[in-house]
Amino acid sequence: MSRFPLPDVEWERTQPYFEGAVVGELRLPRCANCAGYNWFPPERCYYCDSDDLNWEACSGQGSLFSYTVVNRAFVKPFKTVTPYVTALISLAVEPRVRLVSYIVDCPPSLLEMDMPLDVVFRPLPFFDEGALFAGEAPIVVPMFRPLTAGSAS
Amino acid sequence: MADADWGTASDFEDLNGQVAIVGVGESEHTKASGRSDLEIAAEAIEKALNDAGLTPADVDGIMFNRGAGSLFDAAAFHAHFGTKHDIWESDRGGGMVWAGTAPYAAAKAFRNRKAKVIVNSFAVAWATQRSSMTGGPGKFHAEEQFKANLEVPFGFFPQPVYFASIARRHMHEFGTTSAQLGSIAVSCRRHANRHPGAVMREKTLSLDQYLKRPFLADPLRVEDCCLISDGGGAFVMTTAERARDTPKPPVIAAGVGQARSKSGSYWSQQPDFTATPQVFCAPKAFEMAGITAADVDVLALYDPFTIAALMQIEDMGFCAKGEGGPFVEGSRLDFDGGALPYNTHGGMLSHAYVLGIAHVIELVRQLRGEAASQVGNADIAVYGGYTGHMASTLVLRRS
Ligand SMILES: [Zn+2]
Repeated sequence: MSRFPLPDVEWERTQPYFEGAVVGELRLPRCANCAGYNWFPPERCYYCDSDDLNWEACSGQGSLFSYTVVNRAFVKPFKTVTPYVTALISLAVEPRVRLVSYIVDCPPSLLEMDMPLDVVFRPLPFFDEGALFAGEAPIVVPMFRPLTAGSAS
Repeated sequence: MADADWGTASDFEDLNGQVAIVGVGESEHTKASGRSDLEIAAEAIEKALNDAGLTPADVDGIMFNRGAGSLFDAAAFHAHFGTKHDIWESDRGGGMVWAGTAPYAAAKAFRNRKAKVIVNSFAVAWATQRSSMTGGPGKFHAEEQFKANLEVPFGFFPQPVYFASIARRHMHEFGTTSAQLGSIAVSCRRHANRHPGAVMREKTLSLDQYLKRPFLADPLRVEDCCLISDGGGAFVMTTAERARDTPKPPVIAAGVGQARSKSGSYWSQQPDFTATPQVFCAPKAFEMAGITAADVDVLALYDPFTIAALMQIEDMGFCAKGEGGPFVEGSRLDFDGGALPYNTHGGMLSHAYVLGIAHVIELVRQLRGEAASQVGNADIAVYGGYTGHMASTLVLRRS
């Protein structure tokens, strides 16, 4: 059982996503039949209905599909985190995949829709000093930042 | 990318002319009242029966919803009214999309002789429950495991965040503006200011005031989001034949439709991000009723957020996709002279957060000619329900 708002990293349907982040890989379920990456992790491929899905590492480059700057915490654990940018990221290798994550290393005023992004792996902000789970072993997850010449992976 | 295959409409049999709404009732709409949702539902049902000129003994069918809000079933009915007779019950009622499809389930029950007089009710005590942290609209979204693992930890929670990101994409793709979203909020507030039961009756809102308000989750402001309040509503349905004897002019269900998106309730994953399943069900309901969007005199949409209304207006065919912004601009949704009188009671933004049941009640009042903000010559009224992955459309006409 997870502790709100932390993910249950051991839940089998999403476990490889969080395991990959620990070793710096973006891992997604890929269909052996049609080669499409699927998200959220389904039991059968969204595109061809095959059940032959395997988790694979893939490029973390993508683009900013949409976002919002959350100025006010809607629930308590987010109080130490606001303002923050939560976003939907379209992946370059599979535009049908839309990941949900934070945009980091970029002031909100410089965000532009469809701007190129790249993955980074960072601890969730709930482990920061003064936050709800400060001092505990942090959970590292994929986050995204603007793609620059130097950050291409 | 838009995928024409992202949702489907239910295959509904024709119900045109079979069901009449003959009584409506609303509780008081308040901030935290300390009352239970069952008490609130009972108040609304009493008023609806009174409006219909019926007694509790006349009711032989009851509809409610198990997913959210009050569960006012046959046992609750008997407990409140002290009755004992057989009552048919269905959990395919209540508010949200089911405020629109309840007449469809009622038509079936009438045809199969399960019931003759059916009451559908819905009530919430979420203002009360939120202050005691025992429930509220965010509860389901926090507990579903995909959301809990892949959305919530990333700050994509609760509903205002979903709809803020949808609004931003809509703005990016179609050029929709803050002032256009604000026009929806301002029209709703103006209607609520004229409605005796509205939570926001005393509080005015101009577009200038709207534009100066801070962002909650940009581009959405507090004024783009629904209220949280305690309240409920009920409506009484019977067959069109029986409706001839009721005191108020009956309102006839002319068309109904229901549709769902395949991405479930994961807004983040909906392939056509700026659309609602109204694209699938509104055309079916209009066809059943023999009308087009141009025939609609008054519209009421389930409106948790301004952008949710804007998308439904497009998806139901009142304008082309992407043209919703210019369509709603200025006072085009106002009851008096607007191109499309909309949420004439104030909607969930400014009337009360009773999840659609008050919308249907308002449309019945419009078609009877007894609304607080009465639209002239209102013959055809449409309700659009939209709850995440589901949408419904109900066409009502004057008898
Ligand atoms: Zn496949």
